[in-house]
Amino acid sequence: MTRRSWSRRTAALGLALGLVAAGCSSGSGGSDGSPDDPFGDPGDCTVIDVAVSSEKIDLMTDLAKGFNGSDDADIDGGCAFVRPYSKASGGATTLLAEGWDEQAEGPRPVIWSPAASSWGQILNQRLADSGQAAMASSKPVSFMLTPLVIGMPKPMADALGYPQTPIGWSDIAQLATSGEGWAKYGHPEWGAFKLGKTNPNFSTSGLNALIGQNYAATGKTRDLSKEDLDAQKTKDLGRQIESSVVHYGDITMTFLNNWFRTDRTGTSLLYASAVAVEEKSLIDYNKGNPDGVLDPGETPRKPKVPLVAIYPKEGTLYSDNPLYVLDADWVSADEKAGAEAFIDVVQRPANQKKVLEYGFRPGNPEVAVGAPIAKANGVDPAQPSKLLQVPQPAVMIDMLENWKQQRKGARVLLVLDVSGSMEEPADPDDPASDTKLDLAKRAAIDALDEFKGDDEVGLRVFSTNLGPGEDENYLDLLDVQPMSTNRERLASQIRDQLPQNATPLYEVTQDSFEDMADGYDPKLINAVVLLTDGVNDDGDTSDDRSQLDELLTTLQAGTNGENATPIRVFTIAYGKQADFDTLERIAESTNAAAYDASNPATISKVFTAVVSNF
Amino acid sequence: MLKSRGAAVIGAFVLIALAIFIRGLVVGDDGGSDGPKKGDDGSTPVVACTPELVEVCDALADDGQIAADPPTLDLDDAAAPPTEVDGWITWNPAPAIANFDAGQVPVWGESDALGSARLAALLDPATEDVLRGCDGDSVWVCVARSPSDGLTIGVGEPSTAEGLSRLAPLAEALAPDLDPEALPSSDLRAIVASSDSQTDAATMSGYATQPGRISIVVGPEDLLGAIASTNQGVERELQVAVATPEAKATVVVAPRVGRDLDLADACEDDAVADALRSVGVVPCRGKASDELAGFLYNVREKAS
Repeated sequence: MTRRSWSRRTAALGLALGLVAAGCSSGSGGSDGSPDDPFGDPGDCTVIDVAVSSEKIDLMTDLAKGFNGSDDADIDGGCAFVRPYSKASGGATTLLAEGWDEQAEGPRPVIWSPAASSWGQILNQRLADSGQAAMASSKPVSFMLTPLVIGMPKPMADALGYPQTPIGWSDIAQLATSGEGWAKYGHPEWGAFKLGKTNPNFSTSGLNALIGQNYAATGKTRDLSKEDLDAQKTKDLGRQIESSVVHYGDITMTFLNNWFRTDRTGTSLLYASAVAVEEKSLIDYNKGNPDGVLDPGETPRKPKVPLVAIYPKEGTLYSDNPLYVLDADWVSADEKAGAEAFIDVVQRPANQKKVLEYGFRPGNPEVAVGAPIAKANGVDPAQPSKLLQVPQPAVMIDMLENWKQQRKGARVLLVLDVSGSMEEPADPDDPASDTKLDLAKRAAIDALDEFKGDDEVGLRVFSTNLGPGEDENYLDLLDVQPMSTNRERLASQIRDQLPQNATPLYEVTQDSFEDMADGYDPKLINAVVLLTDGVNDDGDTSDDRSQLDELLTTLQAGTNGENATPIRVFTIAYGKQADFDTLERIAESTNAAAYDASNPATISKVFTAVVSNF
Repeated sequence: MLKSRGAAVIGAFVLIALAIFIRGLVVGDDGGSDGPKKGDDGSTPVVACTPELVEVCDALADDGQIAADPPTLDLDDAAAPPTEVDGWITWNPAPAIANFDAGQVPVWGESDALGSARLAALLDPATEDVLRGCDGDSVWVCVARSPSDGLTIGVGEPSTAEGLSRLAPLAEALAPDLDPEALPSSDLRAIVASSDSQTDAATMSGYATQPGRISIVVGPEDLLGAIASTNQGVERELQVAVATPEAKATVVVAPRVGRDLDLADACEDDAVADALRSVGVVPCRGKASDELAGFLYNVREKAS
């Protein structure tokens, strides 16, 4: 598994025409914006930095290692040295359109490979809108493909009669709204139908799933129109599907990792019934490597309950993985020559076989589509039978606007650490810089914009010795109430916070979880967002271990089981002193996700990513 | 008799000498066949290519027969090409259509063929049932009607020279008498709109290896055959239907009116021939003809 960090789930902005927020492609990456370690010293070679969507970072690293130092890398008396690094598709789109800060984001790429070429079109559109020249070729090399599928545990797919009975988004809508849930199919023990789907403003797979469900309502496969979106049938289908969502988020790996972890305890069928995911990721899952990245020492272990790829009967979309040699002023002729040499090499049959090994469909037709794209891994190389046209940008904008209203509502308690350590400067090398609390407050206030009016949000702050009697470990500053009435007050309260004392992390987490469970609303995504910069510190270290054990037991008991009232606890490890490992255990115990903002400068992006779950 | 024969021989020599002299003036070199061909002003001619034929231009430029960095030019802009462009390598009969677009003063002179391809249809196995029901009709008629059965057809963009040449046999199937008035706009548009994108035959035939992407691709027979014989093509059981009646796509070079351009034999150059073959065209075959220009002018209008 790979530790999440902000750049892998960077809040990305700007879908078509620069009007819509967009973001990360699904996936989790290896290296993280710093293209150094795996490749060694480039020497005098021309360095070709390659920004790639995270799900293919391992593959690209493998291909780069094969290229660097080879005869193919000899270019006009010199040599090229390729350095891929992970960068979310939507995030890279925004950076390329608005300016790439190399200090914060790593080197500007010579080659850019987002998950799908639609991102290249969006980039060019956004550049055109701001009077700049296009950077992405209109005909990039697409060196591999992977279709969007609905991943479903095999017993559930079997219960639905798949593949003999075709399944699509319309069936998902019916499942979502059936009062009987899985009982209708003879499995009351599986409870209600639950769907995992990423936020379409952030994730390629989430966007493709949204396109798919909108087409499904119309019966069309192309020319989706604004009128189609406004049709009551389309809106109804959207609401029905969204009503079953477990939570959203920026990457599909959150769902796959949670599925994989619950598989060990035999509860994976209770966590989610289906997830919209790329075929490649489903293969990785079934091979025992749910995030597609094998860390040193990590051994794949196949899940007890494998997934089956359902190719929606209404049609689906491919992620076509283009390779753009950017037409940008920072790309020199030598870099361009090196980039083209690399692109030529990755299309060769030997390397296209590697593409296949990693679970993608080779772009070079000379390489047959064989294992691991095989029925044994839950996928069907002869599918999909129908493809959908990517809608026009203006239609996509409307579609995303509509989604804001159709998506499942949220009921969220923001729990903010206001301990004394939050007073430290965010940049340790600059004592005059903003404090950590300053940055966190700003990020939290900005993130409030992502909630819709009927989302319910409350605010709790924690530190020791709070309250009039200085004997409270947390204070409820605002009850969980609709944002339509709470928004301004929330911003005001957050803005007023000052650094206080110690960090009673376990107590506040347990109480927050239990308080939210008391008011659990099955129609909403119920969650706690917990931000802390430290370790548990309530003045008594002797019971820390038992406190944590009790906390984790409580979280797991409330999350799993047929009658669970799952409250997802999304944690943010803020600053270098934060106890990420413990926060990850807390998050995982509730089938949520932990976020790493060890660099305080990233907190705004991390907060946006966290809020993408709603 | 002898006297007159001698005069004729002398006359012939004079003419040959004159031709060599003039050629020397035009070419401005030693008269060899490999050197750069010069335009009227002695410079190497600037020749543009339609985008999918850019490798042909590159080969000519590498050989010094045309100016380096040849520009691209497609039908949309061919009625008013940049001043420096002396010639255009494209698909027949695009120069004649561009002349229609230009109005009363033609832009392009008489074309020469550089190569030709027989058009065929690359078929996904899923098309079998639909085409089987077309007994008695030509393949082109079946293909032209297939969008109504939910099939997707790759014919290229009808506003481009390449797309028009591929759409031509389907349009003829819909209007056998080549009567523009009889051309059904809705059917033409349905063909073009059946696929989520329309682009060149090389790209679209690659799409055919991707399940669900495209049902039928119309293009040069050799190009489609090459895709069908790849591992993925074999795996997908792609078939190439040699369609009847025979239809051809021909690559031509057209000089700009008033400019000298001698590239009719360029197809004999190995690199140029390879570039032509890469798009499925057999070098040095076929002939340029404006016969369908008027009809395809209307096809473009009705299909776009």
